[in-house]
Amino acid sequence: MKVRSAILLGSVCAALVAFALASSHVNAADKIDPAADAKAFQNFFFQKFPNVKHEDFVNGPYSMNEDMKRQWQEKEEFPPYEFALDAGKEMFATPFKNGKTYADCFPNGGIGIRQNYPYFDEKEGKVVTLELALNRCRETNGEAPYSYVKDEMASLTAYMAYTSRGKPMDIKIPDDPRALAAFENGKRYFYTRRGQMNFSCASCHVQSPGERIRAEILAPALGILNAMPIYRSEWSGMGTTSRRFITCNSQTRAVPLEPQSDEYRDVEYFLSYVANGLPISGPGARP
Amino acid sequence: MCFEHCISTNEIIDITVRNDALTALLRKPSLTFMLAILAGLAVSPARAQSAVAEGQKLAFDRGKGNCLTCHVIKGGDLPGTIGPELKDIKSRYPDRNELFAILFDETKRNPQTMMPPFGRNRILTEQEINAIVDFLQTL
Repeated sequence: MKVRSAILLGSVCAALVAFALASSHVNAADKIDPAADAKAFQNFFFQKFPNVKHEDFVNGPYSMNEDMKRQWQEKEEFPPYEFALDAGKEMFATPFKNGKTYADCFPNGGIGIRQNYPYFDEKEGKVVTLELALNRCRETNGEAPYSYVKDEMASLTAYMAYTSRGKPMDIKIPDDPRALAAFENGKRYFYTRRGQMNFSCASCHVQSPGERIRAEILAPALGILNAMPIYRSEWSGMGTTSRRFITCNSQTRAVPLEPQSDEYRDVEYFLSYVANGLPISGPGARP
Repeated sequence: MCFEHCISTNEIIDITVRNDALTALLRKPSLTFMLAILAGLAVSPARAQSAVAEGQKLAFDRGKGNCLTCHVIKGGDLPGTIGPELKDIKSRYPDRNELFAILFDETKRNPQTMMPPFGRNRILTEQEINAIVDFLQTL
Protein backbone atom coordinates (compact mmCIF):
# COMPACT_ATOMS: atom_id res chain seq x y z
CA MET A 1 0.00 0.00 0.00
CA LYS A 2 2.81 2.34 1.03
CA VAL A 3 4.78 1.53 -2.09
CA ARG A 4 1.71 1.71 -4.25
CA SER A 5 0.75 5.18 -3.05
CA ALA A 6 4.33 6.39 -3.47
CA ILE A 7 4.37 5.06 -7.01
CA LEU A 8 1.00 6.65 -7.64
CA LEU A 9 2.18 10.00 -6.33
CA GLY A 10 5.37 9.69 -8.32
CA SER A 11 3.50 8.97 -11.52
CA VAL A 12 1.00 11.74 -10.89
CA CYS A 13 3.89 14.16 -10.42
CA ALA A 14 5.69 12.85 -13.47
CA ALA A 15 2.47 13.23 -15.43
CA LEU A 16 2.00 16.75 -14.10
CA VAL A 17 5.52 17.73 -15.06
CA ALA A 18 5.13 16.14 -18.48
CA PHE A 19 1.83 17.92 -18.88
CA ALA A 20 3.28 21.24 -17.76
CA LEU A 21 6.16 20.86 -20.20
CA ALA A 22 3.89 19.83 -23.05
CA SER A 23 1.47 22.68 -22.53
CA SER A 24 4.01 25.37 -21.65
CA HIS A 25 3.70 26.95 -25.08
CA VAL A 26 -0.03 27.50 -24.46
CA ASN A 27 -0.04 28.98 -20.99
CA ALA A 28 1.44 26.89 -18.20
CA ALA A 29 0.34 29.41 -15.56
CA ASP A 30 -3.30 28.45 -16.11
CA LYS A 31 -2.56 24.93 -14.93
CA ILE A 32 -0.54 25.74 -11.82
CA ASP A 33 -2.54 25.32 -8.64
CA PRO A 34 -0.25 25.64 -5.59
CA ALA A 35 -3.13 25.35 -3.10
CA ALA A 36 -4.21 22.00 -4.54
CA ASP A 37 -0.58 20.84 -4.66
CA ALA A 38 -0.03 21.73 -1.01
CA LYS A 39 -3.19 19.89 0.03
CA ALA A 40 -2.22 16.77 -1.93
CA PHE A 41 1.35 16.95 -0.60
CA GLN A 42 0.26 17.18 3.04
CA ASN A 43 -2.41 14.50 2.65
CA PHE A 44 0.14 12.12 1.19
CA PHE A 45 2.26 12.35 4.35
CA PHE A 46 -0.69 12.38 6.74
CA GLN A 47 -2.01 9.18 5.17
CA LYS A 48 1.37 7.53 4.91
CA PHE A 49 2.04 8.19 8.61
CA PRO A 50 -1.38 8.21 10.29
CA ASN A 51 0.20 7.97 13.75
CA VAL A 52 2.43 11.04 13.41
CA LYS A 53 0.85 14.23 14.75
CA HIS A 54 0.72 16.79 11.97
CA GLU A 55 2.81 19.35 13.83
CA ASP A 56 5.47 16.67 14.48
CA PHE A 57 6.53 16.41 10.85
CA VAL A 58 8.73 19.48 11.39
CA ASN A 59 10.98 17.34 13.59
CA GLY A 60 12.34 15.38 10.66
CA PRO A 61 13.61 11.88 11.38
CA TYR A 62 12.55 12.18 15.03
CA SER A 63 8.92 12.16 14.01
CA MET A 64 9.45 8.78 12.35
CA ASN A 65 11.00 6.81 15.19
CA GLU A 66 10.05 6.66 18.88
CA ASP A 67 13.49 5.69 20.17
CA MET A 68 15.22 8.46 18.32
CA LYS A 69 12.56 10.90 19.45
CA ARG A 70 13.27 10.10 23.10
CA GLN A 71 17.01 10.53 22.63
CA TRP A 72 16.44 13.80 20.85
CA GLN A 73 14.13 15.15 23.53
CA GLU A 74 16.86 14.49 26.08
CA LYS A 75 19.40 16.19 23.86
CA GLU A 76 17.15 19.23 23.54
CA GLU A 77 17.82 19.98 27.22
CA PHE A 78 21.34 21.02 26.18
CA PRO A 79 20.85 21.65 22.49
CA PRO A 80 23.94 21.64 20.26
CA TYR A 81 22.71 24.78 18.43
CA GLU A 82 22.76 26.83 21.62
CA PHE A 83 26.10 28.52 20.87
CA ALA A 84 24.89 29.59 17.45
CA LEU A 85 21.65 30.85 18.93
CA ASP A 86 23.44 32.99 21.53
CA ALA A 87 25.87 34.30 18.92
CA GLY A 88 22.97 35.11 16.57
CA LYS A 89 21.12 37.02 19.26
CA GLU A 90 24.17 39.12 19.99
CA MET A 91 24.92 39.77 16.31
CA PHE A 92 21.32 40.77 15.75
CA ALA A 93 21.51 43.38 18.49
CA THR A 94 24.92 44.75 17.48
CA PRO A 95 24.69 47.85 15.23
CA PHE A 96 26.50 48.01 11.87
CA LYS A 97 29.25 50.63 11.43
CA ASN A 98 26.59 53.08 10.23
CA GLY A 99 24.65 52.65 13.45
CA LYS A 100 21.73 50.73 11.93
CA THR A 101 20.83 47.15 12.84
CA TYR A 102 19.28 44.10 11.23
CA ALA A 103 16.00 45.10 12.86
CA ASP A 104 15.86 48.13 10.53
CA CYS A 105 15.77 45.85 7.47
CA PHE A 106 12.83 43.63 8.48
CA PRO A 107 9.15 43.92 9.32
CA ASN A 108 8.49 43.81 13.07
CA GLY A 109 12.18 44.41 13.72
CA GLY A 110 12.92 40.90 12.42
CA ILE A 111 11.30 39.20 15.43
CA GLY A 112 8.81 36.38 14.85
CA ILE A 113 8.83 36.62 11.07
CA ARG A 114 10.68 33.48 9.96
CA GLN A 115 7.40 31.85 8.87
CA ASN A 116 6.99 34.44 6.08
CA TYR A 117 10.22 33.47 4.28
CA PRO A 118 10.85 32.94 1.46
CA TYR A 119 8.52 35.45 -0.16
CA PHE A 120 8.01 36.45 -3.76
CA ASP A 121 9.31 39.95 -4.42
CA GLU A 122 7.10 41.42 -7.14
CA LYS A 123 9.53 44.26 -7.83
CA GLU A 124 12.43 41.91 -8.44
CA GLY A 125 10.22 39.22 -9.95
CA LYS A 126 12.01 36.56 -7.90
CA VAL A 127 11.89 34.56 -4.69
CA VAL A 128 13.70 36.17 -1.74
CA THR A 129 14.84 33.88 1.06
CA LEU A 130 15.69 34.89 4.61
CA GLU A 131 19.39 34.25 3.99
CA LEU A 132 19.31 36.45 0.91
CA ALA A 133 17.43 39.21 2.75
CA LEU A 134 20.01 39.11 5.55
CA ASN A 135 22.95 39.56 3.20
CA ARG A 136 21.12 42.30 1.31
CA CYS A 137 20.57 44.04 4.62
CA ARG A 138 24.29 43.84 5.31
CA GLU A 139 25.26 45.13 1.88
CA THR A 140 22.74 47.98 1.98
CA ASN A 141 24.38 49.05 5.22
CA GLY A 142 27.90 48.86 3.86
CA GLU A 143 28.85 45.51 5.38
CA ALA A 144 30.38 42.54 3.55
CA PRO A 145 27.98 39.64 2.92
CA TYR A 146 28.36 36.42 4.90
CA SER A 147 28.84 32.91 3.54
CA TYR A 148 25.40 31.45 2.87
CA VAL A 149 26.13 28.00 4.19
CA LYS A 150 27.19 28.21 7.85
CA ASP A 151 28.74 30.20 10.68
CA GLU A 152 27.36 33.75 10.99
CA MET A 153 24.50 33.16 8.54
CA ALA A 154 23.42 30.07 10.45
CA SER A 155 23.64 31.95 13.74
CA LEU A 156 21.49 34.83 12.48
CA THR A 157 18.84 32.56 10.97
CA ALA A 158 18.93 30.38 14.12
CA TYR A 159 18.01 33.40 16.22
CA MET A 160 15.33 34.58 13.81
CA ALA A 161 13.81 31.07 13.67
CA TYR A 162 13.91 30.81 17.45
CA THR A 163 11.87 33.99 17.87
CA SER A 164 9.31 32.47 15.47
CA ARG A 165 9.01 29.00 16.99
CA GLY A 166 5.52 27.60 16.92
CA LYS A 167 4.25 30.09 14.36
CA PRO A 168 2.67 28.32 11.40
CA MET A 169 4.57 28.56 8.11
CA ASP A 170 2.78 31.20 6.09
CA ILE A 171 4.13 31.50 2.56
CA LYS A 172 2.16 33.59 0.08
CA ILE A 173 2.04 33.08 -3.66
CA PRO A 174 0.75 36.32 -5.18
CA ASP A 175 -1.43 36.20 -8.25
CA ASP A 176 1.53 36.87 -10.49
CA PRO A 177 2.51 34.51 -13.30
CA ARG A 178 6.18 34.88 -12.30
CA ALA A 179 5.43 33.72 -8.75
CA LEU A 180 3.49 30.75 -10.05
CA ALA A 181 6.31 29.96 -12.45
CA ALA A 182 8.82 30.10 -9.57
CA PHE A 183 6.68 27.67 -7.56
CA GLU A 184 6.37 25.35 -10.54
CA ASN A 185 10.08 25.55 -11.25
CA GLY A 186 10.86 24.62 -7.64
CA LYS A 187 8.45 21.73 -7.84
CA ARG A 188 10.06 20.51 -11.05
CA TYR A 189 13.51 20.68 -9.48
CA PHE A 190 12.24 18.72 -6.48
CA TYR A 191 10.83 15.86 -8.57
CA THR A 192 13.55 15.66 -11.24
CA ARG A 193 16.11 12.89 -10.99
CA ARG A 194 19.72 13.96 -11.36
CA GLY A 195 23.31 12.99 -10.66
CA GLN A 196 25.16 9.71 -10.88
CA MET A 197 22.83 8.09 -8.32
CA ASN A 198 19.78 9.19 -10.31
CA PHE A 199 17.86 10.44 -7.27
CA SER A 200 15.39 13.28 -7.11
CA CYS A 201 14.78 15.07 -3.80
CA ALA A 202 11.49 13.15 -3.77
CA SER A 203 13.18 9.73 -4.13
CA CYS A 204 14.42 9.95 -0.55
CA HIS A 205 12.10 12.45 1.09
CA VAL A 206 8.73 11.51 -0.45
CA GLN A 207 9.17 7.89 -1.50
CA SER A 208 11.28 6.77 1.47
CA PRO A 209 10.91 8.93 4.60
CA GLY A 210 11.22 6.85 7.77
CA GLU A 211 13.37 4.30 5.96
CA ARG A 212 17.02 3.96 6.87
CA ILE A 213 20.05 4.50 4.67
CA ARG A 214 22.64 2.64 6.70
CA ALA A 215 22.01 3.98 10.22
CA GLU A 216 20.41 7.25 9.19
CA ILE A 217 16.64 7.78 9.06
CA LEU A 218 15.39 9.73 6.06
CA ALA A 219 13.37 12.82 6.95
CA PRO A 220 9.98 13.53 5.40
CA ALA A 221 9.96 16.39 2.89
CA LEU A 222 6.92 17.83 4.62
CA GLY A 223 8.12 20.46 7.09
CA ILE A 224 11.80 19.79 6.39
CA LEU A 225 12.61 23.51 6.10
CA ASN A 226 10.61 24.50 9.19
CA ALA A 227 13.56 23.26 11.28
CA MET A 228 16.25 25.26 9.50
CA PRO A 229 18.97 26.09 10.30
CA ILE A 230 20.20 22.85 11.86
CA TYR A 231 23.11 21.58 13.86
CA ARG A 232 24.15 18.36 12.14
CA SER A 233 26.42 15.94 13.92
CA GLU A 234 27.59 14.83 10.48
CA TRP A 235 28.78 18.41 9.84
CA SER A 236 30.00 18.91 13.41
CA GLY A 237 28.35 22.28 13.13
CA MET A 238 25.51 24.44 11.97
CA GLY A 239 24.19 24.62 8.43
CA THR A 240 21.63 26.71 6.60
CA THR A 241 19.00 25.71 4.06
CA SER A 242 21.60 26.41 1.35
CA ARG A 243 23.99 23.99 3.00
CA ARG A 244 21.29 21.34 3.20
CA PHE A 245 20.53 21.55 -0.53
CA ILE A 246 24.21 21.51 -1.49
CA THR A 247 24.92 18.51 0.73
CA CYS A 248 21.96 16.58 -0.67
CA ASN A 249 23.13 17.25 -4.20
CA SER A 250 26.71 16.23 -3.57
CA GLN A 251 25.81 13.15 -1.52
CA THR A 252 23.74 11.84 -4.41
CA ARG A 253 26.66 12.69 -6.72
CA ALA A 254 24.83 15.46 -8.51
CA VAL A 255 26.38 18.85 -9.25
CA PRO A 256 25.40 21.27 -6.46
CA LEU A 257 24.21 24.72 -7.50
CA GLU A 258 25.50 28.01 -6.17
CA PRO A 259 23.86 28.93 -2.85
CA GLN A 260 20.88 31.20 -3.51
CA SER A 261 20.81 30.38 -7.21
CA ASP A 262 17.36 30.83 -8.77
CA GLU A 263 16.62 27.12 -8.68
CA TYR A 264 17.50 26.72 -5.00
CA ARG A 265 15.38 29.78 -4.21
CA ASP A 266 12.48 28.26 -6.15
CA VAL A 267 12.76 24.85 -4.52
CA GLU A 268 12.80 26.56 -1.12
CA TYR A 269 9.67 28.46 -2.16
CA PHE A 270 7.93 25.23 -3.22
CA LEU A 271 8.94 23.25 -0.12
CA SER A 272 8.04 26.04 2.28
CA TYR A 273 4.68 26.69 0.65
CA VAL A 274 3.60 23.06 0.81
CA ALA A 275 4.46 23.13 4.55
CA ASN A 276 2.11 26.05 5.19
CA GLY A 277 0.30 25.65 8.49
CA LEU A 278 3.04 23.56 10.12
CA PRO A 279 4.95 25.30 12.94
CA ILE A 280 8.44 26.73 12.71
CA SER A 281 10.72 24.47 14.81
CA GLY A 282 14.15 25.85 14.00
CA PRO A 283 16.88 25.89 14.92
CA GLY A 284 16.99 22.11 14.85
CA ALA A 285 19.44 19.34 15.68
CA ARG A 286 19.95 16.38 13.37
CA PRO A 287 22.24 13.32 13.38
CA MET B 1 27.72 -7.80 -22.87
CA CYS B 2 30.18 -9.68 -20.74
CA PHE B 3 28.58 -12.27 -18.47
CA GLU B 4 30.03 -15.58 -17.44
CA HIS B 5 32.29 -16.04 -20.35
CA CYS B 6 34.71 -13.26 -19.50
CA ILE B 7 35.54 -15.06 -16.30
CA SER B 8 35.96 -18.37 -18.11
CA THR B 9 38.21 -16.67 -20.65
CA ASN B 10 40.45 -15.62 -17.77
CA GLU B 11 40.45 -19.17 -16.50
CA ILE B 12 41.52 -20.52 -19.88
CA ILE B 13 44.39 -18.06 -19.98
CA ASP B 14 45.43 -19.05 -16.48
CA ILE B 15 45.32 -22.73 -17.28
CA THR B 16 47.41 -22.15 -20.39
CA VAL B 17 50.09 -20.38 -18.38
CA ARG B 18 50.15 -23.18 -15.86
CA ASN B 19 50.18 -25.67 -18.73
CA ASP B 20 53.30 -24.07 -20.20
CA ALA B 21 55.07 -24.37 -16.89
CA LEU B 22 54.05 -27.97 -16.60
CA THR B 23 55.19 -28.96 -20.09
CA ALA B 24 58.69 -27.95 -19.20
CA LEU B 25 58.66 -30.68 -16.60
CA LEU B 26 56.47 -33.26 -18.27
CA ARG B 27 56.97 -34.81 -21.65
CA LYS B 28 53.84 -36.91 -22.05
CA PRO B 29 51.17 -34.84 -23.74
CA SER B 30 48.32 -37.02 -22.46
CA LEU B 31 49.49 -36.56 -18.88
CA THR B 32 49.86 -32.85 -19.47
CA PHE B 33 46.34 -32.78 -20.79
CA MET B 34 45.02 -34.59 -17.73
CA LEU B 35 46.93 -32.33 -15.42
CA ALA B 36 45.56 -29.36 -17.24
CA ILE B 37 42.05 -30.60 -16.57
CA LEU B 38 42.91 -31.20 -12.93
CA ALA B 39 44.41 -27.72 -12.73
CA GLY B 40 41.27 -26.36 -14.31
CA LEU B 41 39.13 -28.07 -11.71
CA ALA B 42 41.31 -26.74 -8.94
CA VAL B 43 41.52 -23.21 -10.31
CA SER B 44 37.85 -22.80 -11.11
CA PRO B 45 36.44 -22.80 -7.55
CA ALA B 46 39.32 -20.65 -6.33
CA ARG B 47 38.61 -18.15 -9.09
CA ALA B 48 34.94 -18.15 -8.30
CA GLN B 49 35.74 -17.62 -4.65
CA SER B 50 37.93 -14.63 -5.36
CA ALA B 51 35.19 -13.12 -7.55
CA VAL B 52 32.73 -13.68 -4.71
CA ALA B 53 35.08 -12.05 -2.20
CA GLU B 54 35.64 -9.15 -4.58
CA GLY B 55 31.88 -8.89 -5.10
CA GLN B 56 31.26 -8.76 -1.37
CA LYS B 57 33.88 -6.08 -0.97
CA LEU B 58 32.26 -4.01 -3.72
CA ALA B 59 28.79 -4.59 -2.28
CA PHE B 60 29.82 -3.29 1.14
CA ASP B 61 32.08 -0.46 -0.11
CA ARG B 62 30.41 2.94 0.43
CA GLY B 63 32.07 4.37 -2.64
CA LYS B 64 31.14 1.49 -4.94
CA GLY B 65 28.12 -0.82 -4.79
CA ASN B 66 27.19 0.32 -1.31
CA CYS B 67 24.30 -2.20 -1.38
CA LEU B 68 24.22 -2.16 2.43
CA THR B 69 22.94 1.38 2.42
CA CYS B 70 19.54 0.07 1.33
CA HIS B 71 19.58 -3.74 1.76
CA VAL B 72 20.04 -6.18 4.61
CA ILE B 73 22.89 -8.51 3.62
CA LYS B 74 24.24 -11.37 5.71
CA GLY B 75 27.63 -10.35 7.13
CA GLY B 76 27.07 -6.61 6.72
CA ASP B 77 26.74 -4.10 9.57
CA LEU B 78 24.20 -1.27 9.80
CA PRO B 79 22.10 -2.10 6.77
CA GLY B 80 19.43 0.25 5.45
CA THR B 81 15.78 -0.60 4.94
CA ILE B 82 14.81 0.86 1.57
CA GLY B 83 15.26 -2.26 -0.54
CA PRO B 84 14.34 -5.87 0.17
CA GLU B 85 16.69 -8.12 2.14
CA LEU B 86 19.16 -9.81 -0.18
CA LYS B 87 18.74 -13.51 0.52
CA ASP B 88 17.78 -16.72 -1.29
CA ILE B 89 18.96 -14.98 -4.41
CA LYS B 90 19.66 -18.11 -6.41
CA SER B 91 16.13 -19.42 -6.00
CA ARG B 92 14.54 -16.01 -6.56
CA TYR B 93 16.72 -15.17 -9.57
CA PRO B 94 17.93 -18.38 -11.17
CA ASP B 95 18.96 -16.41 -14.26
CA ARG B 96 22.07 -14.37 -13.52
CA ASN B 97 21.34 -12.18 -16.54
CA GLU B 98 18.29 -10.88 -14.74
CA LEU B 99 20.37 -9.97 -11.70
CA PHE B 100 22.93 -8.30 -13.93
CA ALA B 101 20.15 -6.29 -15.60
CA ILE B 102 18.77 -5.13 -12.22
CA LEU B 103 22.19 -3.88 -11.17
CA PHE B 104 22.92 -2.38 -14.56
CA ASP B 105 19.73 -0.29 -14.80
CA GLU B 106 16.62 -1.23 -12.84
CA THR B 107 14.79 1.91 -14.02
CA LYS B 108 14.26 0.14 -17.34
CA ARG B 109 11.92 -2.32 -15.65
CA ASN B 110 10.64 -0.06 -12.88
CA PRO B 111 10.88 3.67 -13.62
CA GLN B 112 10.01 4.54 -9.99
CA THR B 113 12.77 2.44 -8.44
CA MET B 114 15.20 3.98 -5.94
CA MET B 115 17.91 1.63 -7.20
CA PRO B 116 20.66 3.66 -8.89
CA PRO B 117 21.50 2.54 -12.44
CA PHE B 118 24.97 1.27 -11.51
CA GLY B 119 25.93 0.21 -15.01
CA ARG B 120 24.27 2.91 -17.09
CA ASN B 121 25.64 5.71 -14.88
CA ARG B 122 29.05 4.02 -14.62
CA ILE B 123 29.09 3.72 -10.87
CA LEU B 124 30.33 0.16 -11.45
CA THR B 125 32.00 -1.47 -14.45
CA GLU B 126 30.46 -4.57 -16.03
CA GLN B 127 33.21 -6.64 -14.44
CA GLU B 128 32.38 -5.20 -11.02
CA ILE B 129 28.68 -5.88 -11.54
CA ASN B 130 29.53 -9.47 -12.48
CA ALA B 131 31.56 -9.90 -9.30
CA ILE B 132 28.65 -8.57 -7.24
CA VAL B 133 26.28 -10.93 -9.03
CA ASP B 134 28.64 -13.81 -8.13
CA PHE B 135 28.50 -12.68 -4.51
CA LEU B 136 24.70 -12.24 -4.52
CA GLN B 137 24.26 -15.78 -5.81
CA THR B 138 25.93 -17.11 -2.66
CA LEU B 139 23.30 -15.46 -0.43
